[in-house]
Amino acid sequence: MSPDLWSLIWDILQSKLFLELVFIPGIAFIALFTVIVVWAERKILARVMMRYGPLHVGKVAGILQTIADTLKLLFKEFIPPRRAHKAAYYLTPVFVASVPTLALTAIPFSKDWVVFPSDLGLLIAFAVFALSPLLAMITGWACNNRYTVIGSLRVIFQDVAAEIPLLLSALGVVMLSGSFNLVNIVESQRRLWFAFLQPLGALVFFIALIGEIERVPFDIPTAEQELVFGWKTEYGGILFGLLMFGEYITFAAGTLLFVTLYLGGYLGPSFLPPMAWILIKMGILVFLLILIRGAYPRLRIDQLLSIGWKWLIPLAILNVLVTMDLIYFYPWILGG
Amino acid sequence: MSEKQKLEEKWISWGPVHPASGQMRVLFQTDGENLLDLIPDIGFTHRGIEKVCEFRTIISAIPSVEKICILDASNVDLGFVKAMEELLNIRVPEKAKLLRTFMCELNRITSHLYWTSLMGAVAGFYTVLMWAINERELFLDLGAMLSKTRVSYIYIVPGGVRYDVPEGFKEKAFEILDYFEGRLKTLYDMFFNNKLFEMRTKGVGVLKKKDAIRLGAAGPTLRGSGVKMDVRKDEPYAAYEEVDFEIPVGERGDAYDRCMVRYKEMRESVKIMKQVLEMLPSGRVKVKTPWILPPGEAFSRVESARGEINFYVVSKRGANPYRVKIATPSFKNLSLLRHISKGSLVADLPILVFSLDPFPLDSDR
Repeated sequence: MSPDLWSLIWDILQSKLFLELVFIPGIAFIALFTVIVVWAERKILARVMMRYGPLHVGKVAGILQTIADTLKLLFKEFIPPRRAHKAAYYLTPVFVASVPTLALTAIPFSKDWVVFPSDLGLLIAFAVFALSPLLAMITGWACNNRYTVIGSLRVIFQDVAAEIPLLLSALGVVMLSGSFNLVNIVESQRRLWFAFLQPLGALVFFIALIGEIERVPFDIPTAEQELVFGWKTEYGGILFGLLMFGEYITFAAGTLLFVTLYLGGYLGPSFLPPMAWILIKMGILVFLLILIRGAYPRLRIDQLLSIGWKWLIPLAILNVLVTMDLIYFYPWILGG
Repeated sequence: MSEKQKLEEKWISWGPVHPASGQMRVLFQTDGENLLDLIPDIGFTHRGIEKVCEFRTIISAIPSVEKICILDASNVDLGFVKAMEELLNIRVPEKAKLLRTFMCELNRITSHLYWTSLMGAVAGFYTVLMWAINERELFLDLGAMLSKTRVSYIYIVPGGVRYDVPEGFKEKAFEILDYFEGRLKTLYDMFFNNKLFEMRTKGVGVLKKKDAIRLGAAGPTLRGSGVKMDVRKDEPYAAYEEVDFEIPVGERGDAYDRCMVRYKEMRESVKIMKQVLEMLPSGRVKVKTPWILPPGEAFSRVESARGEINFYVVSKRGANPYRVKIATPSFKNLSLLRHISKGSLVADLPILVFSLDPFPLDSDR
């Protein structure tokens, strides 16, 4: 190979984009997050439920259990249903696992550490979220099984009920910061986190977020007692692993978005780098969500829809109106 | 064929191989979201225990009789033994009476805890499943300490109980009961007082007082509808006359009230067990019994964890009873399912079924 090519490769290896894509928030971060959070979730839930959880693989507290499980899934056979649409059946798990990662590209990990710096970063994140029900629908339909179809229909019902309040409550943040750019949003929280300026909006966003990432008490699309495993029923082996992977990436993206919008993102005292602060905040939020999973039963689908349409959306609109009033009558809250 | 006719011909089967149905199935019709009609279909676990009893002596029939409802072994056992004692005309020693009461209440708690865990599971609340099963283990150990067997105790036999209280039992029992009282409060905060659990169960599967009596509900299901009826009070057996306890009743008769009745019953059971331990005298726990049943017939009523269980025994002189007829509470309660499911959603079906606390083995016998 010519020395030019070598220097080109060297340049690529040295570039910041490469670091971002490979380490944070790229492949290494996603893989590490999934491995650690799956393990932590099992361990914390086990503690809540008064049992041991993973114990043996990896000497200390079963820390390598997730890796062992992933290896097991890798070597398992997957059996597609006879009447399944084969192409869609095999392809959608790949998309389910890869599409949510796009949301991470918009999240700033420090002032100049964004994979895809854009003035519409917030909208990019929401656009990616909006794709997930479509993928679930294709997956459920491709399996040609009534449980999966019901499961994916429920995903759509739920996501519509959750996504509208999600976007509406984020609107308050946009009004306060005057920008869709996530870096600007974080920077305008230097004085005070938006969670304090927008408690109502933060609450609505948090509840809608749980619905969006389909966790207990809103894990209706995969309600085991009713739907076996929802739209994921027909998948096995690494295809199932990919679906779970996608779920946890959505989890990561959702919590990061909440931290960025309401908890000051990467801001924090300067004895730790900004990247550490956003990860710490994210870790606390993940811990909280896992505890919620241990402390609540599942809701019924009509109850979730009525919460979404009758409470979260009006509250989010109220939040927008209150924010408008505040900005109009007390412009000093915008700072400057 | 019209759309409605097509719908009427379509029966959907929930169970018998379903993670939440138990060894029975519920056939139902739905228009997608609402339950239109429903038939609880039992009979997958029929073991002919009534017939088995005809070929067993009064002692060797007990292990089979207990299998009617293994979660609630002692209460079922006591019903059978009571009928036998009536036939044989035996007076049971005072200590045996108290120990029988103790064992029955212990079984009531284990049975209700098992139900709590199932209720948690069908509500998607796995923490409660683990907690309740964990607490149940303590009582299983306690029962094993007393009867030297796990789960299927075979403790109550005609003439008394099989074993006297072992050494250190009283202290162990008090320790477990005190601990469990604290855990019951936590369980209340976590599960029964949980807002989301109330949302799932309040106003679901309402059984009015009038209907509960008319349709023959039993046990906590009957009391959940506000009928204050309990064989332990109405027709006291064992040592229930001597202990002080209350009968919890519900008001509205919905699934939540039935759950709360069971929860409160666990508290009352702890109260009874503590009193029994304090009252325990010294003396014999078993009297000698004849093996041959005299001719005659006997009828017994016992309040098991799921409701009143009846044994009707006919004897024509011999080591075995001539005929044993058993009326089990799960059968009575499962027959209510069609009534309480009117106007409910399909998603409520598991909650409806488990709010009745049915045990398919119990209803099949």
